[in-house]
Amino acid sequence: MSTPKGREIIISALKFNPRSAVSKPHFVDYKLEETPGMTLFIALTKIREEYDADLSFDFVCRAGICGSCGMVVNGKPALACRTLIANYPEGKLTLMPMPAFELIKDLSVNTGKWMDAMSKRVESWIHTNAVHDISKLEEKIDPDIADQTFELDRCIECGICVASCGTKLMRPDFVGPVGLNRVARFEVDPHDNRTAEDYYELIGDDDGIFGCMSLLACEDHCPKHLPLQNKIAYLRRQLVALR
Amino acid sequence: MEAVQFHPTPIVPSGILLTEGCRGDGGILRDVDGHRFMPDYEPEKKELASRDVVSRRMIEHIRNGKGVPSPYGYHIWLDISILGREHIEKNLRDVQEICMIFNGIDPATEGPKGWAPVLPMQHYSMGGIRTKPTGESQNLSGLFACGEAACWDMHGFNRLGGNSVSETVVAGMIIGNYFADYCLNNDVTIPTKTIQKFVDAQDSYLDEILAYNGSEDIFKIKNRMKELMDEKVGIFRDGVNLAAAVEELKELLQKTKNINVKSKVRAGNPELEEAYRVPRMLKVALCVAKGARERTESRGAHYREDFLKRDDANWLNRTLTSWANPSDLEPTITYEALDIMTMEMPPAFRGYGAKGMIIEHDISEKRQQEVDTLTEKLQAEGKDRHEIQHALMPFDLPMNYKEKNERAGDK
Repeated sequence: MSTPKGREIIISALKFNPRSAVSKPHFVDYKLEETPGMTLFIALTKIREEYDADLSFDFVCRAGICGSCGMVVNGKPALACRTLIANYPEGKLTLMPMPAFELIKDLSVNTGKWMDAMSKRVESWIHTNAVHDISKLEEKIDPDIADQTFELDRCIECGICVASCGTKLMRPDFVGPVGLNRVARFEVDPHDNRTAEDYYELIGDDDGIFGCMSLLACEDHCPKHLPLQNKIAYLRRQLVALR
Repeated sequence: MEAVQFHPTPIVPSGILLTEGCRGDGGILRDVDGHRFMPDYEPEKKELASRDVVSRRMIEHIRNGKGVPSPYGYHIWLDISILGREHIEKNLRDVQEICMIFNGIDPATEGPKGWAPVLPMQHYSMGGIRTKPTGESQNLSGLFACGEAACWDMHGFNRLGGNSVSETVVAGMIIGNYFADYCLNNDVTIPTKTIQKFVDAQDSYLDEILAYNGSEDIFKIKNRMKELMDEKVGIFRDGVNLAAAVEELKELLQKTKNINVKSKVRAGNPELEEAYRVPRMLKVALCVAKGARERTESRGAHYREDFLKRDDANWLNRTLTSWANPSDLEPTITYEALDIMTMEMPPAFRGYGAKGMIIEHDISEKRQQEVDTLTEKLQAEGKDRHEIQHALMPFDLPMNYKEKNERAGDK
């Protein structure tokens, strides 16, 4: 049961500490031996433990659920925990922090702060005046509608769609695919009593639904395969019909 | 804290959970020969025995030479292909995705090519901050905990799959309300000086860590802790290994003061974060290991090969671990007795595991008779289940949560 020697790989990571007066962005190359099933999470942990204890990156669940480990891998945003080294035959992975978010250090960015502001902006909660008596039976929801809501609720707020977004580069205040998906999630949920007019107030401008240039790198890179293209098109049709 | 749940089916080697639903829906476990072995051990419940039982049987089967060899040690196969592609792609989509991304396996493929390598791994801690029924700490006023952080008496020494709903929704609702009430009823004025005192203490602790000038490596200490917990405080436990684990964990805790954090920067410094966190992890590990060493019985997820029986006569209690002095190398352990005479279901054999594996408490039977007599009497008087519950084990709930719930089919 001995493991045959793996190939040598190079992880090239951008290092920069924006808090430091002397730090300048630069790449550092780390040479590692690949092990079977090695993910970028495993490789980065090994680098931190054995080569560079100062390399900052984020991980929590290492299973593609917490959305903490988004980074740009060879030019494409991806979840590092779900990135298998074996899928890179050239054996070199260049890592950069995701753009669009505040850089904490090296590969670590503050998606939480951005997502929090987005949630408040699209008022990401059920809007209803209904008063529920918990001892009474709940109102029934059509299982298909529940499925549709759940499908959109699978978003893990990793920020990969925002980092992929061409519109976000041009319009710094763009609500992002994740924000539009969030509106779509409440729009389909019958618990939420907001109307199309209400959503127009939130996203009916060029920083919202009308800003999207339909380049759709968001859908290409979404690790949860959310139907962003369809939902953005659907919302735009609904809202453009209002004016 | 010694009650730790192991989940039977995380995927090897990444350790990502393949949900209970795999077996719930009818997926089966196979060994190195492709043989479905669970019915040999658990003829009645097979793969659907509780998590601790399935986990132990898997390891037992591997010990019997039936594990599948791999570069990461021995594992077992999980086969869900028998459920059909349509079912997998609709109901077990996440499982399929994990298998494909991490192992290049499509579990909907029939035959050995679709089998996923699995091995029991640590999943959940039944222990936590000891709370009252309101979720408030028993000894620190205003500290509320719920979910995995809490020891709220929902799980006991074991935990059923699916209880995360009770824990998030039910506990969240009840404790959330008690917490809101607490905030409404308690105005707190905290002098800035008090806050500053605690900030200063943390500040000087960070300085202390950055000033360590030893030869140990915090990452190596952490990895050794992980190995120890896995090898000596895992699914199967015994006194010799547990004692060795406690001693070495204490040594590791001492070593955390003999490190050298290379970068002296106070923010965005991963090694400093680790140096701050690992001593705390070691203290939790010591609570688990020492509690397990002391508890000379097998109960729920805590399985002692040198004490196979559940011992209600001597061990029907909660383990309370505390750190009287932060510089102590091991926790202080006390025990909180459970009062059988206030239970609606006194401890007994409930068809779980083999018969004859319980040393019963002598008042269990007395309380059971009392419960039976009272229940019969109340039923004869025409009392409903709410009234009977109240007579057997009264409890409080916030808001109107004690109102009788309407049920589908009520007239």
